[in-house]
Amino acid sequence: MSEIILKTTGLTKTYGQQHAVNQVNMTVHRGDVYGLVGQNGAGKTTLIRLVTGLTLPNSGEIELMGAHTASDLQHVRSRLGSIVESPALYPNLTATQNLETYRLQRGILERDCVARMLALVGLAGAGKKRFKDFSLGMKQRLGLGLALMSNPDFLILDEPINGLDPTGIVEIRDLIKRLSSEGVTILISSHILTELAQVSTRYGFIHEGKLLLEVTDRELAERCRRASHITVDDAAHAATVLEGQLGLRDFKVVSATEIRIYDQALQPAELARALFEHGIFVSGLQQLGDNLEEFFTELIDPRNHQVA
Amino acid sequence: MFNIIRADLYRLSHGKVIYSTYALLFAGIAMGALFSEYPAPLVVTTQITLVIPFILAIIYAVCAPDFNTAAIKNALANGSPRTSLYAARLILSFLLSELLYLLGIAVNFAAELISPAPPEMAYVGSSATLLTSIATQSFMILAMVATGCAIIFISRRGVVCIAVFLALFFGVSIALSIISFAGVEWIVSYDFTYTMGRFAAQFGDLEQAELIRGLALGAFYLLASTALGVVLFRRSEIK
Amino acid sequence: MPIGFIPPVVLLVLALLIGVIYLVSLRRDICGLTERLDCIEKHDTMMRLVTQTRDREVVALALKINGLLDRHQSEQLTLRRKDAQLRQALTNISHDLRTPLTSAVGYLQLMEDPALSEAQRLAYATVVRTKLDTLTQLIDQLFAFTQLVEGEDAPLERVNLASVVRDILASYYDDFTHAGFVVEASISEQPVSVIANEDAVRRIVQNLLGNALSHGVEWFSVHLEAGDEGQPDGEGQPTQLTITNRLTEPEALVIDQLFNRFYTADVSRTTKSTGLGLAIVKLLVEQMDGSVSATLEGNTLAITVLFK
Repeated sequence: MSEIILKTTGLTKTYGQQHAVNQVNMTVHRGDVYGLVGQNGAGKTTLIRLVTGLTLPNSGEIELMGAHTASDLQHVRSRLGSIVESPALYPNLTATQNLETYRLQRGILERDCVARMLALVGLAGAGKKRFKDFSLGMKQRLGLGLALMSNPDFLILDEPINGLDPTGIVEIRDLIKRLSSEGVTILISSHILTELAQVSTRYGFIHEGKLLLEVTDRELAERCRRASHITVDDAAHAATVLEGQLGLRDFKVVSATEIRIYDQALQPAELARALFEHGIFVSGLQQLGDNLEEFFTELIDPRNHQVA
Repeated sequence: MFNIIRADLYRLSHGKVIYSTYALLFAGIAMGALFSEYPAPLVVTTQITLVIPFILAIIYAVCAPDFNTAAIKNALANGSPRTSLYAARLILSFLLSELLYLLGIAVNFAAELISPAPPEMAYVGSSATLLTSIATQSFMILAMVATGCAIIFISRRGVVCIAVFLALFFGVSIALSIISFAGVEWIVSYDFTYTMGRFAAQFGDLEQAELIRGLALGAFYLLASTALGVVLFRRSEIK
Repeated sequence: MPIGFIPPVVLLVLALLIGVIYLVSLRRDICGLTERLDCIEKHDTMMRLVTQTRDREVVALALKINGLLDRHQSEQLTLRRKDAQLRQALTNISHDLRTPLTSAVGYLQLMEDPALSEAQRLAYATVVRTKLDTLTQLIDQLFAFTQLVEGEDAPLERVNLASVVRDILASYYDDFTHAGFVVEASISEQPVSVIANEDAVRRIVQNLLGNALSHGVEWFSVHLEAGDEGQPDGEGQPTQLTITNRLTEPEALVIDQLFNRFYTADVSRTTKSTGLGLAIVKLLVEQMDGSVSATLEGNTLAITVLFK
């Protein structure tokens, strides 16, 4: 059983009447690259701020690498590296000076640490530039360098590719993959699903403060497959027809009256007709999405709200 | 905690704020020494109000940038204890302020050598009195620094703190001195700045009771602000 | 008390205070280091030691320990990777062994048909025999490799490399012409003598030529250059055997991994190699105090073996 890096139970944070984070039960396993998906304002940043200790919850528990109590949590956070919202550093200091300040503060002994970090995030030449002169992309990189400086076991990135150009995005993606292969657990929050899909091994979908769904990437791929969803009187009978007469293998009987057909050999209209010809009346036929965005839109749609 | 102090010193020494502070103070003190009527050793100690803006500048330089730029989240998210951050910054602010104050006195003595005061204005107190005076003023400086730090850590905003600080240490003075004309002269003795000044100029003339009252006032400012500051900072939300 | 005493007393008190603070913080630092090491020991973490003071000796100690931790971690990583490679190789091997077996069984089943003609039955029987031969070859290779890794050094003697190479080339001649290869060979008529083990040399040449046959296309060349022993006090030129061939998919080749025992250029397992061929070559060559290297230029692969 994989070690649990982060586990929240019933975590809630309210601002006045609004629930920014509402009864969230989230689990991040060791070695995961956890993609926290949500629209702007869904509660991703608040959740991250709760985990990193910048904010205190109203109710619920956080368990971080085995630590429960406030003082234990504070101790264990030294194994954490994070960028929360946008990277914040001292504007009048250069990149090197900024990182050096934090190297001293954290008591890191290796003197070449700063140079190594700058090289790692691709800012080797920008060491003498003041932080206030940095572009947004460079700021993100420096923030990442700062987060990585203390060899974290758990890296929390709040919208890391925000403001990066396509090359930068690829670089960060590669860096994340490399870190993950070295054993670092990573939590990334973003509203850009396609980018998350490149790296994530687990997903958490958050909407209006609630964690709607938490799945592994395989389960998600399952759910996202393009499928035709038919409603019939007798699913068992229909299933035999599908397999025997129509030769379709790839389908799933979802309930006594519903079947989800992944095999795209027949177009929906042909499918309905073929079934009819074999005596199956199709009372409902729906095409399901095959990509993340559609999946997500459907997930947060209040009409078919499902609690995970 | 030492690490935080070390890091702050690095940050300040590369930020150039501190150098200008010291330079200005030296200039001011030296000029004051050269042109004032008072005997040299007392110039700084009486013109304590000269030092206050510089103390504010130091407190601001040490404590405020983390909040102005929200960089404090870097330290907190990495597990630095809030109390340690508070204590480290308080200690550093005090040490720098004290250094400033003592250097001012030293410069003052040096200026005395250049242009000695007229003999009838010569200093009459003993060195013991001078030292005690410096010690008590240092205590008051500590109280002032603690209050300043508390203001910044509680409000977590930069500019507002300056206003509050000035109001507390100058505004209150002015207000109380106005009120004192209404027949309640004793109220002036509860003014921090006034007391601090009293510890300098007429230290030899001070009565025991006044001394104790002054120190108690300082202690009150110190303890109240630190307690309040630490408690509120620990429970606060960092934006 | 004389006034003059006060300044020195104050200074003395201050000095004592500073001394005490220093000692206490040093002790706390050492305690902190121990605690951190405790944590590092208990958990699988990337943490390194940090200090609160900057005492030179403590820092030096901590840096040394950090270095050890770094080494330990990279060793663990290599171990994990090798483990994964091993597992992958085992899967590959079992697949490789299963394929000819399944095929042979299939043909045997076909042979059970009584309506089969004698000629057909014979043809099938030949196919089964070939499949089983391939199987035997693969298993031999596997066995040979394990033997080599554990085995003792083979006896060395003077071997005529030129005649060995010519021999083996001749035996492969049919296969090469059948596959449409153009063969270029420059081997001297004079004997080229090396200190080696004849069996090992045969196997080396066989593996190299076999590789050229199965992974190359169009042409390959064999070049044998005799070395000279040189002056008694100087260094001689080693005897050099170079086999160069054109590749089908040069991009798929990772040159540093070539002699890795589990490396095969196509992960899709469409060919029958176990990846052991070149690894065996390397082992054998090194057992005889020689060396082997490979270079890739464009789409030409050249493997050079230096004999003592």
